[in-house]
Amino acid sequence: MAIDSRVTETKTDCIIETEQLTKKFNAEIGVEDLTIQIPRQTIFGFIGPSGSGKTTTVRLLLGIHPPTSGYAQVFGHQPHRFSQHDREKIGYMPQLFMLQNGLTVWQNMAFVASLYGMMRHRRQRIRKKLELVELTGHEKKRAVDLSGGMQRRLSLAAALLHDPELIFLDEPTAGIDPVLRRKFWDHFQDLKEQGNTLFITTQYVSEAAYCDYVGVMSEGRLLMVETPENLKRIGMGGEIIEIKFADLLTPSQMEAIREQADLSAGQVQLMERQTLQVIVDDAAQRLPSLLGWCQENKITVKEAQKLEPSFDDVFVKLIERQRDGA
Amino acid sequence: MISQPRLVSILVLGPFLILLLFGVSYQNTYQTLRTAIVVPEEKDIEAYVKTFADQQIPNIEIVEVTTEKTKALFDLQYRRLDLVMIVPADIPENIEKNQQSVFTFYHQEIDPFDISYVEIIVNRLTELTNRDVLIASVEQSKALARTYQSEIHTLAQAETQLTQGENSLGATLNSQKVAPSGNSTILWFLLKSLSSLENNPSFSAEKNELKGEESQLKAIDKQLSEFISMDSNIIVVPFRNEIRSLSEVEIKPVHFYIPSVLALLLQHIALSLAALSIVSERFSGTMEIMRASPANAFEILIGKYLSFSIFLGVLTVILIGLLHFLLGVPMLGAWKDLAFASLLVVLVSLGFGFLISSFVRSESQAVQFSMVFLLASIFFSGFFLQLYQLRWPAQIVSWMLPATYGIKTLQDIMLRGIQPSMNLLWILIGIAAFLFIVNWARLRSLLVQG
Repeated sequence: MAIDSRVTETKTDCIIETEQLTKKFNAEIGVEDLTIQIPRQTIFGFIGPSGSGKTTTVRLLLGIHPPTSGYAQVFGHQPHRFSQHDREKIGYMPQLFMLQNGLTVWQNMAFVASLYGMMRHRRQRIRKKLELVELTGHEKKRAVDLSGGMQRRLSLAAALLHDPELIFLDEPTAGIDPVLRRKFWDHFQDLKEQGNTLFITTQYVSEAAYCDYVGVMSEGRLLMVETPENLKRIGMGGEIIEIKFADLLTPSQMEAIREQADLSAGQVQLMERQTLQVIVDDAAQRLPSLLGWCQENKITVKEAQKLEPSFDDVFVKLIERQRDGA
Repeated sequence: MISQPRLVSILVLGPFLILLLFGVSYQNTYQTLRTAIVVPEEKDIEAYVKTFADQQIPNIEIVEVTTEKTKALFDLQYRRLDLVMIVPADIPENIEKNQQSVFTFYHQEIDPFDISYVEIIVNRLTELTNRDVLIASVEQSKALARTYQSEIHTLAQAETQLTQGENSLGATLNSQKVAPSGNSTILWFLLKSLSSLENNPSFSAEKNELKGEESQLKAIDKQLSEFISMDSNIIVVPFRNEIRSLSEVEIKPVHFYIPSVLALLLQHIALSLAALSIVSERFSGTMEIMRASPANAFEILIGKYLSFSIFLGVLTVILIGLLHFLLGVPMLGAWKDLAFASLLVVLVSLGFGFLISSFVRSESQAVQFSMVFLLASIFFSGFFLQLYQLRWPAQIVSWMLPATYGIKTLQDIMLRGIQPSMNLLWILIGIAAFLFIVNWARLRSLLVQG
């Protein structure tokens, strides 16, 4: 399958651009031939299994690692040669909690504020960000005494403290309860609306739905970059129509449906004897004709709809396909 | 631990090498005291002292014989001299009065061992002086005796002439009873001769000659009387000594160790904190946040130096305050000098700590290195052994340790009340600057390479 990792924005609008970016740790490949363009004011989701190279990509884009080959540009500059001004525009939340365990919540925020040279309105900004991540009232708690979820929230507050233009969030919602996770994504949407660009890695495939674009990583390689909708379509091979019948289908009826729809065996799947899933290019176009055919052949349809597959299923399909060498 | 060979090697080899170096470099030697002798402005005393100073005196090096007491004491205060000996001006008067003269010795030692050593050396020096004076006195007495002998010969000749030339005088003399024995015989003889000549005008020339001899003999008599009346103790021991410290405040033995402990403590805390700082940030991941932030290596390092210096500054103020105001440890020098010297010791120690921190691979290694540094400081910094008791290769190690400078400067400021040596301070500034540059380069490399 051809992989188009370039989103449809013009090059000048891109805040991040890489070309065959490769990072090797001795002989081990971290990221290989990553070519990607990410437009401004978007949420770019980076999905992949553990060890697929997501964090390495983030570090390459932050300039923490120099590339082995290829190039990357963020704000039009190579990350490992960022100026202080470039770094001031970037926020970073690492995958693991990397603040000081011995310091309190407030002291950790003050520490990050000092790293970004924030002198004015420091207290006000810290208070605001702690409020955002619901850590108000925990200011005097030492980081080591916080729960895992609270530590993630503290890391997020620290990453957003200086109101960066481009925000790298490495698995920001890991270990956070669903309610707060949802709040986080709402806030990410707000940040995007305010003109920020977010580069978010996640293992929660379902979170791809919140992104404007999703990149799928596996074994250091970028499989594709797509909108969530297209990702589903590509992952599942098309759109899925699910039809529930009043009676059990016979094998001959199954064969007749396949012939009528001009579909291959893999695209028609009988889930139970009364439920059929059909993968088509365009569900809106094919569903009426399928229903008409059923009526003509006196097959009573109890229910018919376009099925929205879960991103988990899509992701699994994509990874399986990649491993099968498709 | 077995999986960390570097840690094991530091743990075992570090202390072993330190002890080995100490064992090899220790020498049972005594300090040669650089001494100035201050003499009164009298040529003959100065000349005598210079002759005395030319001889080889064990453990004493006479640097100068001078009449400028103030300058000598100033040099002593600033450790260019170890001992100043003041020779009194009233030595003849004291001898006449049958009194001992006092040599006043000034020193600037604060180490109880060194004070005892100075006392021993000073007593030896005084004994040596007394012995020299005694020898000189004997020589002078001999010279005097030779004069007396010459006078006696002259008188004997006069007697012969009188005997041969004048029978009347011979008769007169012969008519006298037996002369008294001893020294008074000469006088008796002379007086008798004179009385006879008084009555004989033909011997006017001899008469005059004998009158001259009479006055000589009276002078001899006077000298002999003075000598006889002298106290034998003063003849044998004309000098005693008084030993004084330049400091007017009594330095107790426990006070001597306080600046050393303080310097060692400052070095160890600063070094340990710094040694743990970068390595812990590397392994906890905080450095990754720093690397993504706009703060560069210079700013991060300055921030670390600043924060640790402020923390250690507060600690030093509390410690010294407690020591001075609660325990009564003297603080004879200027507080600003103490603050500056302490700051330099802290900065150099932090420099070494950051250097360790940027090379070690775990916090355990950092702690181990700082312990090895502490052990080396105890043996080589002059904490309990003076540096002159170490052979020179070991002294190179000594002068690489911030504690060595700290101990010397803090002792000077707190216990001697003098400004610390500018040379030492400049060296500390140089080491601090050098370490800062090395650490800056190292941190830059760490931030780039990870």
